[in-house]
Amino acid sequence: MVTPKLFLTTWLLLCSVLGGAVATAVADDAAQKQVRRQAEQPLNNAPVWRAVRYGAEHSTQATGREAGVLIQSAGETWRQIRNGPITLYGGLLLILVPISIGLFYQWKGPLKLNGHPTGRLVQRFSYWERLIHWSVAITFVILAVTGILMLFGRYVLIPLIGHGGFAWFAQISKNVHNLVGPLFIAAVACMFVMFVRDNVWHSIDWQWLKKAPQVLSGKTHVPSGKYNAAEKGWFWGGVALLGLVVGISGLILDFPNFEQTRATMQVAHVVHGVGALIFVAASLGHIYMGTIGTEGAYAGMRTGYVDETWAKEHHELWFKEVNS
Amino acid sequence: MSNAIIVKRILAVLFAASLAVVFQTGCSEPSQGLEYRDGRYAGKPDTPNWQGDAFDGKRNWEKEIKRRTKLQSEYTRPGGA
Amino acid sequence: MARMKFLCDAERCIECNACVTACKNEHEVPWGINRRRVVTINDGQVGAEKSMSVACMHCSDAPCMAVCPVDCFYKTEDGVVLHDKDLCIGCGYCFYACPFGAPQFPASNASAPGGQATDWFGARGKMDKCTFCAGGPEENGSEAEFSKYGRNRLSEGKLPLCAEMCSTKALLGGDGDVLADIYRERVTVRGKGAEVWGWGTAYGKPGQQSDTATSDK
Repeated sequence: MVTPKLFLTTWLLLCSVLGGAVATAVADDAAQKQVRRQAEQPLNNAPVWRAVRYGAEHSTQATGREAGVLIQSAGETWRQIRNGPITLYGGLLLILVPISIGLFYQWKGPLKLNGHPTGRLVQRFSYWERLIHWSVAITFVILAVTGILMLFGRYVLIPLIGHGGFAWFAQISKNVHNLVGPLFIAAVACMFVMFVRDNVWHSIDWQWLKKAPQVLSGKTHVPSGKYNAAEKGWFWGGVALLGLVVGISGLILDFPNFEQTRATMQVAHVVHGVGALIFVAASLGHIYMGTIGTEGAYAGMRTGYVDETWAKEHHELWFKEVNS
Repeated sequence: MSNAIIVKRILAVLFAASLAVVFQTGCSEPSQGLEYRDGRYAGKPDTPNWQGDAFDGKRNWEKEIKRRTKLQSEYTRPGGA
Repeated sequence: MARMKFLCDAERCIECNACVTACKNEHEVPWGINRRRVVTINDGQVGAEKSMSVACMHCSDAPCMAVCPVDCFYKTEDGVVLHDKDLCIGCGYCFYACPFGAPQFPASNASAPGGQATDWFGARGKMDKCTFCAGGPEENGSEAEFSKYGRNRLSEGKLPLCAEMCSTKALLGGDGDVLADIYRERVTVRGKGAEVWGWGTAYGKPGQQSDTATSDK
């Protein structure tokens, strides 16, 4: 994984260099326009107001980040994105995904083993793999719960427990979220290194993907390696991609110590919110398949061992490899 | 379980979900009204400015504020041009 | 019903920064915070230089209020936007949303100039902003109110100090209707320059000022 800090620095550098150059050019232009306007129509300040609306940094005696910016219009845009689509569709996602999973469970039930357990066990995950997986899992759940509390608590919890009660929760949530975030990133980085070898995409995974609906309803069986196509998809799309996106945007928000401008933090917040909501919704599917959705799967991650029948039925190629 | 029952269940769940969505849109940006009830502005306590010994009620306080606001005009200032 | 507003006249502001100093002194504002600041546009360019004093404008449709995750902001009957520091969790969202850069964070880094990064997790403390000299939720004029929010001049029948002490009367503060009258008279005498800076953003276009209509009852 590329170090987030490198990303952060490059991003900030780009922003400041481009922003600075454009702003200076515009400001000089505005000043000349104002001089001309003042001669043509005394007391007409339109060029000045236009420069103000552009959000450029002007001179001020006040110290502080962006103290010279008189108006930043982007805040209103950010507010509308956050209070609009992110809250609405994010909330919708978090309501509909569990409902569909519940319906699926009602309808099909868990994926059962076809054969009988042999009683002979195969090691699927080592101690370190399990340790890393549970570190990621626990930090993820903490971040998800505290993050959801920060976005939806105002609408859901304040009517129930009042402003004072919710502020107490929210204060803890914010601090826990800020502290656990970097731990999550570290755990995800370790996980990537440890699990990437078995998650390389093979041609056989296309076959699995083509027959995914039948496989998920237990009708057919497609042999797969240690991880099947869905698990690999979760690894690359979820752990790697969303982990990177949410991690970097989270660091930008978590450490406002690098003179980030408000525009940077607004963008980071939108990316973080969208990414995290998709991440949480997708994780529900992963958690379902890993617990009640597949018979015998949870034991594998809990103890590290699975039954031979389970291994043969779910990950045949891996089982053969282990046995040979 | 017959198909009809499953369809009914799905419809019921979708109905509940859409209700939740309606609730959410209704809540997403609370009004920024100025209602003052039981010593609270939308749940947050505060005492109005005219409460206290200095003013005998809201009218007097407003009158004083208006007077002071007007003082900022040098055209109408007592003794001004 | 009075609707409190600020008005700054760009033709009069001479960038003396007295409003900034008066505010800091009156409220004993925490280090690193500027509840009010003066910004100069086209600084040093003859014929184009304009200065502007800016603080919280106490918006009709306040973005800070809309984005606060703990809903700690409230608007008084006089249209002053205040916040409850006991509820504030210091997340910084109001700081992202505000067009005027009014809400700021005290302590080590979030709003202070660089090089003071002692607070690694950006804990930020409680947000601080201009109160229109109206204090906060605590009892009017109490010690607790002063230490958290500064002096409560409105409850004493006074207006914000920054406006009342402005030597050129560039910065006006108080009942919006009276301010509009004062400014109209000024523009008539001056002949030109009717733009009122920030009012379009803070209070909406004329006819959109729904909050004054609801408070008239």
